[in-house]
Amino acid sequence: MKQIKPTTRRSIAFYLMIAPWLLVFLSFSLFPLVYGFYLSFTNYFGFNLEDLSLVGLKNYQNVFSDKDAMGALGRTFLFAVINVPLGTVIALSLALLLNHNIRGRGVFRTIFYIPSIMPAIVTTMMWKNILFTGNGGILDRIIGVFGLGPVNWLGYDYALFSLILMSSWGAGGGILIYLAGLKGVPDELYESAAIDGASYMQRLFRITLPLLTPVIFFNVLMGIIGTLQQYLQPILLAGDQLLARPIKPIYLYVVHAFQQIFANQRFAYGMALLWVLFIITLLLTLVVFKTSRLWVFYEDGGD
Amino acid sequence: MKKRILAVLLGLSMIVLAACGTKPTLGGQTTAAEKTTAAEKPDDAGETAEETTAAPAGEDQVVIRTTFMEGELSRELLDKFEEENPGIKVVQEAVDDTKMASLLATQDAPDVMRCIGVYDIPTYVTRRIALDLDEYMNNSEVIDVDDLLPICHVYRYDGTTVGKGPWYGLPKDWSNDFALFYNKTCFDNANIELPSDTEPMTWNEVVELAKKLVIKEGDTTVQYGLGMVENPTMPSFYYLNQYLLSAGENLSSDDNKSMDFTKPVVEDFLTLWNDAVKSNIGPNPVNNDQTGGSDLFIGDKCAMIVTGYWYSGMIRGNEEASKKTASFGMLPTPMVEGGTRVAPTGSATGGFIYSQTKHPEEAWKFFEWYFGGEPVDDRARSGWGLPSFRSKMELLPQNDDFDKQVYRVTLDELNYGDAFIPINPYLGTAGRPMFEKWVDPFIFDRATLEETMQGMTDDANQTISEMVSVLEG
Amino acid sequence: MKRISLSRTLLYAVLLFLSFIFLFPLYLAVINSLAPWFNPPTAVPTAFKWENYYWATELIDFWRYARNSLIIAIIYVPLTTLSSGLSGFAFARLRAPGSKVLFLCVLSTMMLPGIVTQIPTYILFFRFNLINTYIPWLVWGIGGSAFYIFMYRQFFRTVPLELEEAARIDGCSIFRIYWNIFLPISLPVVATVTILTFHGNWNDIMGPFMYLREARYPLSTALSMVGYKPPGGDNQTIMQVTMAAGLLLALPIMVTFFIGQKYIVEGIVTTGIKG
Repeated sequence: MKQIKPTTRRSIAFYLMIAPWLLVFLSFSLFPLVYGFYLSFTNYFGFNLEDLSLVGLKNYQNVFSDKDAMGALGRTFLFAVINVPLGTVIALSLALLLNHNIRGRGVFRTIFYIPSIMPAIVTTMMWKNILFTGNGGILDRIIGVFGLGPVNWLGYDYALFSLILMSSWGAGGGILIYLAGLKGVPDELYESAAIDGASYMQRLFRITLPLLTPVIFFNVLMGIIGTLQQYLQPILLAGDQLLARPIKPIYLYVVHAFQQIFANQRFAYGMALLWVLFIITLLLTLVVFKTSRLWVFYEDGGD
Repeated sequence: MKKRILAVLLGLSMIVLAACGTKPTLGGQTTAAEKTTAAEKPDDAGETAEETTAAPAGEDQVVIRTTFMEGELSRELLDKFEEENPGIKVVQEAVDDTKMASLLATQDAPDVMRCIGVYDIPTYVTRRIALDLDEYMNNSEVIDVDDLLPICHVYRYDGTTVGKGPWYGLPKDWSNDFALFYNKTCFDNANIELPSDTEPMTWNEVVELAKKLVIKEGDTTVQYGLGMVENPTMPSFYYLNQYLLSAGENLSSDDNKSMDFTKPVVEDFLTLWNDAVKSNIGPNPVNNDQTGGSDLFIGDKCAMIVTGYWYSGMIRGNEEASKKTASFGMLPTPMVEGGTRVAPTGSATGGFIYSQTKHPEEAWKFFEWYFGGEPVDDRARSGWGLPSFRSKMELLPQNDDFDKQVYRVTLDELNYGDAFIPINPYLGTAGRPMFEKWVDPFIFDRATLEETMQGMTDDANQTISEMVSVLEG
Repeated sequence: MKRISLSRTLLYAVLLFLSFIFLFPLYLAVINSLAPWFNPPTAVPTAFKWENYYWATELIDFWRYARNSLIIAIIYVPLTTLSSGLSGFAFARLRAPGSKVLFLCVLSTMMLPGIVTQIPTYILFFRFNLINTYIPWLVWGIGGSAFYIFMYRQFFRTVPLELEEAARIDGCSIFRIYWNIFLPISLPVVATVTILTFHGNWNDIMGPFMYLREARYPLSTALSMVGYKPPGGDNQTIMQVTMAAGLLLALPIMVTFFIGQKYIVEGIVTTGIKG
């Protein structure tokens, strides 16, 4: 009997190894996906699942003529363009700081990480009712020390800034992945670089960052996907119920979908909104993947 | 290869789809009598609900699921009910708007559901989610329909008019939600006399009075004039509805299929409350004070608060406020200048029975007990709301001067409590977010009054026409 | 030498300053959790009502919810960590027909907000009697999480080719290469995934809320949905006790992070790489 070719063997191994994921994907994810897609072509209003009628592309046409949706999409992009690089820089800088041999490293790591894992209920109260609040809120008092007037942190002019501030505070969540990535950079590389007399900055830009690019790439992509889907923070800044309506500058795209679905019961339309976002995210991801060849360094030579 | 995988994926999903396809069921409104027979039919879906509850029910026990949670329905009380009704086990289950649709999709919503009667009943009846309780109500030995206060009739709906047609539920308790409470300490701080507690003020007078009650120290407002319990002091959809009622106006057409927010009465309302925002009489989005109106009021930092009888329970139950009840009191519900005096309920929290319940008899048993039996007396005595029954009014707390003043004003308010807030059933719960969407830019001076009113009209009519087409299509 | 100690001082100064910023809101949470009931939020300590922490465990069925949280975590976290690693390795190191399309499927599941599939998923679970059971977590665990599959893939791709080739010359099977070479040197990543999975799972509110009923809620869901009301009718949520409960909820996460991070730092096997 002829021996199995290595490529065939690899294919078999590949399918065996992804089998758990594939089976669960087929049984648990595919039906909801297809069914959800189907619902976006109906007149589903939350209570009439028993007698739906198909409305063709009407919901999708509405997405593009809905001024609120398009405005929210633009704001969401703006938010992503600021938030993703900022969050990446913060998390990466913190991780690099912590990668030094310092006392109490574990304590510092924990401190930076904690904000990202606080329960939403606690986070919201801290920011909205204590820091951002007007009429003597803590942030107003802090900027007051520098002679700056009170600011409406949650009003039209500053709401987006406040949202970014709040997100940045939680950006420490990313350090965990960066730290793991940094541990993957072999010490020998640094040692030989040190012998060559390379400065810290040289080592950072010639060794650390290039080797970290796959991890940075992962975090950036996750950041984009997460930011485009962001809805909880703006809602929590607006009120303590899920149906609270954020002020316009932080009325993001998924918030709009959420409002359409749960406040207005326009389920089918809301699903169309989300499928449009899905397509946009997918296209964006493909673009990011294509450009990744230019800056991401893989051991196996890349795709 | 790619194609083959895609084909496999699609094929598999089709199989799953077919297996899970929803089966046709009886559409339309189901009456209680029909449901009784339907409940006897074996139904595989029905069993799962019982099998999977936390503590398994006994052999012959029927599980009734309710969305009334611990704060309103204690486990001790439920234990008592289960003791008296050994055949029924009650399970509490939190449900919100985000979960409701999933439950309705599988026709597996809880049997007795909590609702905000004023807004939800027309909506739920229109969507055929609420069970017609007329027969049960009229034959009940526990609930005396003639003893019910007029306000309870917000749980009746005939498809167009609230207060007419079959019964769909009952309030747990209710309040004259648009009345005022005052904090005398704050009035003294501002050297202002308390207003009359027998003659209502107009809303314009309330706002003017509130302006005089504001005390500032430099940039910081140390005392506000008027707050709201859970909302900022700003134009609110709920208050608009009471304003309309007092003005004798309705924004909906007779068939409810269109609405007009450009009427002068809306302009008056928006102008008045925009003035309230600009003159800083309470915490609002523009001054961005996130402190709750109730916290301010109890902490002697806000002179008046718009709320109903239930708030007296809040005062009695609050550690700080209960020590100084003498400084609090109630004022009658304000009215519109030139309008009529009305003291409607703005919510009437209560319950209804799910139209697709598998156990209407048992659900009714629980409903009857919770809304007509012993818990009614307990609630009335606690002073956390007004009872549904005239005969239970005297159970309300009347111990100290505060209790007595509130009770006296409340009895007077009852004479004006038989009017119902105008609700458009097609707009339903979409009304409030729609209103807020347009009010935000208005109070921040980013939209004119005309744009605001036109925007509300357009949005409301779009929602209504979509809903009408779903219901009639 | 002087220069170095100066830069070290600067480093500590920066770290302390950042710590202050990151800790400040936590400080606010703590002092508010100790304030008297229904007080307005405060930025300075007003009282030290430690009994709020007692009430946090007393006013709701705290320990039952905590037990439920633990059950879900035990079912889900180890399974997901292992399964995701397996798939991540396959996507990183093995090429097979259709692998790219399948990887796109992995990515796609992350890009679609959960609301889209919520109702169909509910219907699916309902038909198969999975509502109010922990079986979905078992199945989700077996399937792994798209996020971590992707994460493992990114890490495994940084592992030097030489290692794998050396093993292959030794005649190792692909599974052995994964188990004996990739997994051991990826201990920091495994630890990271375990911690992150646990945290995400521990804080998840909506999943359990949708597919479980109250008696089986984990703590996270219970805190948001059941709420802390004073005994006897009052329907107002007590902010101070909720804060206390929120901090109790966060405690296991803080502790596991504090312990687990050591493995991220020390778990690396330094031999073998580029050696």
